[in-house]
Amino acid sequence: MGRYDWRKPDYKSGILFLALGLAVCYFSWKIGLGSPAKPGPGFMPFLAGLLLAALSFALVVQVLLSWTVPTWKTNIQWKNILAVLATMIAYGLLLEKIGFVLVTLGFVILLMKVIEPQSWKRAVLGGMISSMASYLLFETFLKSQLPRSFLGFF
Amino acid sequence: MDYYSLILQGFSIVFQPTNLFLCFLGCLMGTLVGVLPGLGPTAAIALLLPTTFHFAPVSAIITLCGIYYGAMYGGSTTSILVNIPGEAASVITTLDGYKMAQDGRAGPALGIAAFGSYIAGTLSIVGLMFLAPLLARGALAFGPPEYFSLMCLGLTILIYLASGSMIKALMMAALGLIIGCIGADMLTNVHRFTLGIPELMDGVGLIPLVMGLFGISEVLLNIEIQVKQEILKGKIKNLLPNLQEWKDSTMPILRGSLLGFLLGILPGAGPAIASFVSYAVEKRVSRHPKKFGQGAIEGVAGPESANNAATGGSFIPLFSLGIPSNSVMAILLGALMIHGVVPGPNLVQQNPDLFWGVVASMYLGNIMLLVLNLPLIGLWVKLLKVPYAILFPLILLFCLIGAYTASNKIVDVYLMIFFGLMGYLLRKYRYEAAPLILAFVLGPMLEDAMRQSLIISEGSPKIFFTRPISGTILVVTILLLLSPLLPKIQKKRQVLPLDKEN
Repeated sequence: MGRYDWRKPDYKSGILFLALGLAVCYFSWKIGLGSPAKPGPGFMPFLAGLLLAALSFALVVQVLLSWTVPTWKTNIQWKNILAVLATMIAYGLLLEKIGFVLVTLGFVILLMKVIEPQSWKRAVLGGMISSMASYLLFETFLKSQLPRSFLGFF
Repeated sequence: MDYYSLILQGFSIVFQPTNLFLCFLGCLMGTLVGVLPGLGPTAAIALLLPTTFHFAPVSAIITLCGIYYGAMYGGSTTSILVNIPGEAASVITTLDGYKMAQDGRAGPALGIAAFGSYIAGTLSIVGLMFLAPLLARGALAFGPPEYFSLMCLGLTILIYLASGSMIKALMMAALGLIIGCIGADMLTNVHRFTLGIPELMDGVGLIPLVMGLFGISEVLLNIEIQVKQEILKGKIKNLLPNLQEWKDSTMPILRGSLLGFLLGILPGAGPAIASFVSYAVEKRVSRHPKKFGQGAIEGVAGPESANNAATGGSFIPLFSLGIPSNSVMAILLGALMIHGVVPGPNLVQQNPDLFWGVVASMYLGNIMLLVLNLPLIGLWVKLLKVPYAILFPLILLFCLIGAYTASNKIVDVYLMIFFGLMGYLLRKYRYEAAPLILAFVLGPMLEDAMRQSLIISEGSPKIFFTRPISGTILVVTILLLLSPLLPKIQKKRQVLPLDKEN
């Protein structure tokens, strides 16, 4: 690894947090800082943003000067991650429209088939058991208010 | 104070059938969470928090506490048998525990882990029982300036003890403070960073934040490593350690208990660091340090005792000051407030049933855990054979249901997913989530204390330094913050290994 390695993970995340910290400072300033004697609503976030920006700056400088800053491969597997996150967002979108039991059934079957594919029998069985069991646990036993389907039950 | 009658009162509460059952349930869940890799106590407690809304406050806290110390028992099982730590505080146990199992000594390893946990757990509850009320009485004299300084000190110690880069730990604390600011300002009702989303007016909920950062992100990390588990074949026998093994383990257990208890009190230290420090100490005092890593029973007894003792210690700041010392305590603080209990130095006096009931439940819970872990070990081993491909959809499902039922707002589900992705990326870029959670919880308290102090002093920030207790604490804080500039300490800090969850 070279002395000026721009791909170092600390460099990338440092720049991002530096920008975030400065943005927080700007918006806090717009909300109103007040005075040290009478801090306004923006006072605390301004300090926090300033702290974040200053530290991120220090981190970036550290990377640029390469003070024994470690480097590593982040190895982010976007395909799997996005598949799981998309399934979860779909769950959130459909939950109140289709009802708890059906959405849960689909959710579990889908996840069991996508990441590390199981047999259909296993997936469907797993989906049925987990949706029924969680319905019994949360709705019947713990009396949470789970959304029902358009059919009026489940 | 008459401890005897108070603790008796506590036991009378625990022995009510509902509480007895819930204590058992908490311990059972805790062991389960401890055994299953990829679901830590923090996520599990956040997950089950919504389900305890319908319970009485004392029952809810009894259940949640059971999960916490139960996980410390369960964590050792996977470390010893599969070489995969069930949670962060059992990472170090894999070194000697798994080696012992390979040499056919899985029984004594599991046995000493359970007995050590029991002894340390019980000793630390004794400590908690005497120290928390004492400290609370001292803290009655604290005003907002003292609280402000104390929280500054707490955050500093947390960052000081953080593994890895101290700059990055501080960055996470700053980020936590910022996230804590989201929502309508308490004093002026001005909206801060709500991005025009009306649901964000009440601020970001602790539950979606914790479940995202610890639950979802953990699953995302785990699905990319295809965990190959090789479970020890053959029957596990001789769970009762023999005389020699007891002799070797007695001192490590006692040292681990004391060390863990003291470290548990410090903010940010917690069970994981306690177990690492205990291992290092045992290796240093041992007459045969070369045996460590080759299946030394001291290497199991010490750390496993220390992590249990730390759980007892970590309750002290919560119950006596109302200040959480780690992310689990932060969730418990949230639970207390949801149940209308005001955390702070008055808690022990105003809610004796709660404090003594919970303390008594811990004595009982430790006995239950001993029973759950030793005779039933075969059951947990079977559970380990469930493949992760089947497990992870269920963990995600529970997170989704938990986030939704906590508030019945779908926005919380999306928030949790967002924090899940954030937690995953933070982990990939080697940031720790624990300082973030703690700063998130302490932030609003800190802001409140600061504003109240300034009202008292009519705007002079000198109040933080002129009041003796507050001033002393702040000076210590500043010294701690400056100390890493000394190269010697910087070197020592690097000995602390990276922990995954706290």
